Amino acid sequence: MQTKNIIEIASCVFKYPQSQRIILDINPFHVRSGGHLFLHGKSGSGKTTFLNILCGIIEPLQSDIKILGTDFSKLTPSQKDRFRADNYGTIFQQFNLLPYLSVKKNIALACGFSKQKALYVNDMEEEVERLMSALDLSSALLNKQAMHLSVGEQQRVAVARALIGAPKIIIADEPTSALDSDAKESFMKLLFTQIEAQDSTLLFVSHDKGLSSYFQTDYNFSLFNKALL
Amino acid sequence: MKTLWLLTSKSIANRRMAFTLSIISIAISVVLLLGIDRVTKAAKNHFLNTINQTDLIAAAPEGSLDILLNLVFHMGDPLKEVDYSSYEAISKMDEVAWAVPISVGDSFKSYDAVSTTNDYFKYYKYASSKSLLFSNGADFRDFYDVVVGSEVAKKLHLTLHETIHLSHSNGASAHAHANRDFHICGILKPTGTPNDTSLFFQLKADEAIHIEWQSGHFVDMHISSEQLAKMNIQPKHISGVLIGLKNRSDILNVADRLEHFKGENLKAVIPAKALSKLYLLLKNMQEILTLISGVVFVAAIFGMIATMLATLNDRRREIAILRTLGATVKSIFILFALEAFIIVASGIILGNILLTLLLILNNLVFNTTVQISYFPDIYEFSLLFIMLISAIIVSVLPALKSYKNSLQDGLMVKI
Repeated sequence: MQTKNIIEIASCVFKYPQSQRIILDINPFHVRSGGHLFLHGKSGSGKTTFLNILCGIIEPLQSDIKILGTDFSKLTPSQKDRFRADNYGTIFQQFNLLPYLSVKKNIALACGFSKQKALYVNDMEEEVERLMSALDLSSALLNKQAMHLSVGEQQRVAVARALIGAPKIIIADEPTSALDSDAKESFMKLLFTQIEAQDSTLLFVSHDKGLSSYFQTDYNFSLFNKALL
Repeated sequence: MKTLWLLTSKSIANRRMAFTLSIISIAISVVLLLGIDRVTKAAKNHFLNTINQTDLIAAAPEGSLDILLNLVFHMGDPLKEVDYSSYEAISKMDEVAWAVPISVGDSFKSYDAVSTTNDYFKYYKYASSKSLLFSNGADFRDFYDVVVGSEVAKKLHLTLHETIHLSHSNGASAHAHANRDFHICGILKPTGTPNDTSLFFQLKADEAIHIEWQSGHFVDMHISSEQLAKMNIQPKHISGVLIGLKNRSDILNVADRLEHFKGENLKAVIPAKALSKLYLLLKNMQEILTLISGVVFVAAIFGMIATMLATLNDRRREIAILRTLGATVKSIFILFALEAFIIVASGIILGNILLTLLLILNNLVFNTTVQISYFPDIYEFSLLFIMLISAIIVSVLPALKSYKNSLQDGLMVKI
């Protein structure tokens, strides 16, 4: 089972309920376990819509998607919510954290919605501190409210939250676009080190083609004209 | 659930301003809702206990409300008079423990002057079993003694031993019995009954000062007050009689006998019954007040929901993050329900504390005679429970809106 497919898409068509226009019509593709996928697309090309479908937040018009061997298209909305909680870690461009919670509670929150992640973590305190030091975050930040952190720190805390409980799939939606180029490089290095350490599969979405150099060429895709190229 | 409690409490703490205002508005509506209920109940109770332990009131055959208004509230159209001998006969009846004659009609500066005997202060009871007490002085000793009610004394700044002149009949055509000096011998303590706004003087003095009045005209007979007092004039007519029976089971029996009394027909009214009948007239008022507090209550709930909806835009990111982390639609709804619960429960607790403080303050400052309970009764508890439940039910509105937002926003809120 070494070449197990983590994500298998046979078809995926999306349009908004009121509109006639098809936004997405994905051609069949798959991602193998431990693979790192770089998905490039201009803004408005439907990258985020595609991620929303893969996360089960929005319903496609028609789809046949298998994730981790589960027939994802056939899950009910609340099953998708649970599936997402257990198997995904997510990082966005900005505003990943709840501003009124401490850094520690923000990271631990991922386990609050997933028994599977909570079971994976034996000692929450220890695990949070381990992830923080691995991501170059000072332990002095532990009990600080998230709103008092710099953007760079916030992004790394978001990575820690995505990683905790070792979910199989990490989704990153433009995680570096709020960072300057130095911070960007160290962020990408830290992200890759940690993802490889826990053998997760990465889905990385960006409009910045320069970042494609971090990925193997056969996992570079572009969203263009509703399809993946 | 533990996660949701944590999120709710921290999120609320983050929005303390709007949250505190919501709690205060709920608390104010709780104060109104319970306050109106508490006060109307106390007022009703007090009203129905304006006169106690008087089993029957006998008067000329008129409507029971007229008799009650005249002899207890000292107001309304004057009754036909009753012969004094009827009072004497009643007081001699076997079943009767005591009987007090009352005559109304005179006044002092728009307050009612009631003539009676010292038995009135002995037997009149209110608020279950309270007696009329004197804050100053005592009951009648001398012929021209007058006892004044607490409010009369307070409003007119009357003091003990002061000399006053009563008026013949009340209303605009009042004429002073200017030639007859009355002296204040006692001032009553506040009771919250019509006694507070009345004056009392002796029945024999009432009869005496009226001998100079013939068919409504004053005829000066040049009799000094001292002479008049010594003439030993016996009362001829009274307005009615308050009766206490030895055995309450005789009420109907005695009432029936009074209606076919030798000499003249009387009407016997059971005060408790007549008071409940009179209270029905005031019931509309109570219903309107209850309606008002109901509207206040609905407004407070909608105010809270409006606040929740208004802060929803600020919370889009928060909800999107939670959804991304795997929060189900159900947990979003629970989140809003918890928030509504915390707001309303805090409002209820705060409102109850405020109300009790207000009532204690009211008691300290005004020293009121009406007994208002400091604690909610079962009816009020059920009102509060309904309030809590309806707030949780209505919290579905912002939760639904928030859920729709999250569908639209997806993972990433672009604000």
